[in-house]
Amino acid sequence: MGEVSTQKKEAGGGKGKPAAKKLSTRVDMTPVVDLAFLLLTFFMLATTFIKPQVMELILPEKNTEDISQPKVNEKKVLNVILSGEDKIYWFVGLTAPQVNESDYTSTGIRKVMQEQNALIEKMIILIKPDENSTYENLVDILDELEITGMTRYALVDYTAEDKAIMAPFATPGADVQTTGQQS
Amino acid sequence: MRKKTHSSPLIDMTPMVDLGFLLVTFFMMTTQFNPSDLVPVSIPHATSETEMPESNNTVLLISQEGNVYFRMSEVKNMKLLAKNISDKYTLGLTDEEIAKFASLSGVGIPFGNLKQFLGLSENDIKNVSQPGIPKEIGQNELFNWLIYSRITNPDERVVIKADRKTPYPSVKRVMDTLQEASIVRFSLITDVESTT
Repeated sequence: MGEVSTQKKEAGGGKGKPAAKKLSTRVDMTPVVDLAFLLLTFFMLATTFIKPQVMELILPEKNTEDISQPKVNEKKVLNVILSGEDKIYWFVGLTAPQVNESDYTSTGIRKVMQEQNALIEKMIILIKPDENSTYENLVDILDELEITGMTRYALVDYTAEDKAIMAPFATPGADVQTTGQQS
Repeated sequence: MRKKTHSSPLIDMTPMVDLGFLLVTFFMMTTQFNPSDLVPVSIPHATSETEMPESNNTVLLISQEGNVYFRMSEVKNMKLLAKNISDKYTLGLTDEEIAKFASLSGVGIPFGNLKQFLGLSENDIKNVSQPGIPKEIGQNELFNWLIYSRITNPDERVVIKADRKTPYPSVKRVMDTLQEASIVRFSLITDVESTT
């Protein structure tokens, strides 16, 4: 790899300096530098500094026997429907609830959860992604739960019951009035 | 015009080499090659800052269309897994095919077609678009993949890597399968959010 500079001099025809009697011990480092920086570039490009981040998710064990799920007071339940086009609908309880629309911004569902948490003691959040929602919506809502420190939540199915409640909103083109806050 | 005859035009490169190799060593030590994914996915943002463990991951890659691809992070586990599956489904995979299996960046082939798929040349394997692991109820092969990955290495952690735009029902199917396989602790890969 490294060429001895004296050899070069011989090849160059001895122009310039008078031919030295003593052999120089210096090695031409330029190719080594080339190599070093080539490797450097390669590793720099191949490196991933940022390790992927993960979000832990723990689901309940699947019931093999038909154990009935624990019942909760519907008044304590905040239903969060994740819908298509990054929309969120939420309502409290199941009997003729008032459905509100929200979004994933910091003034959207996050505020709703905080407000409702203050209003309702021991609130339980049920996350119900419908068939039009995406994976991003799920991650976003889980993230919001993490941010607001909500621990009492469950990821449940979007049932026919919910569908009935959501029926007025399902029709495409129907303009829903955005009610960010409900008091 | 000539300057001093004694000053050499050569610069002493030694310190530069020192520096160069120092950096090379640093990058060599810190590098870990990220395996390329079979299908490109753009992962969603979140505020979570838990880092993904480096080893013993079972990555379930879910494409935007909802196809599932399977990969274990350790090559030796992939080999063991191939052996286990070959024995169970009497696929009769040769050592060569097992090695090929282990080098895959993801598997998304039904068990029945695995042997045929691994019989292809390296180039063909890259060009074949894998249909994803069947996960429908009734012929849920993903369930078996998960069970065998557990048998192969009980310490495996399941990680879901899905595209942002993957429809929820596909993700739900995968999560249901995980639940059926009694894997109730798993992780979702996210990207650090820059804003908020």
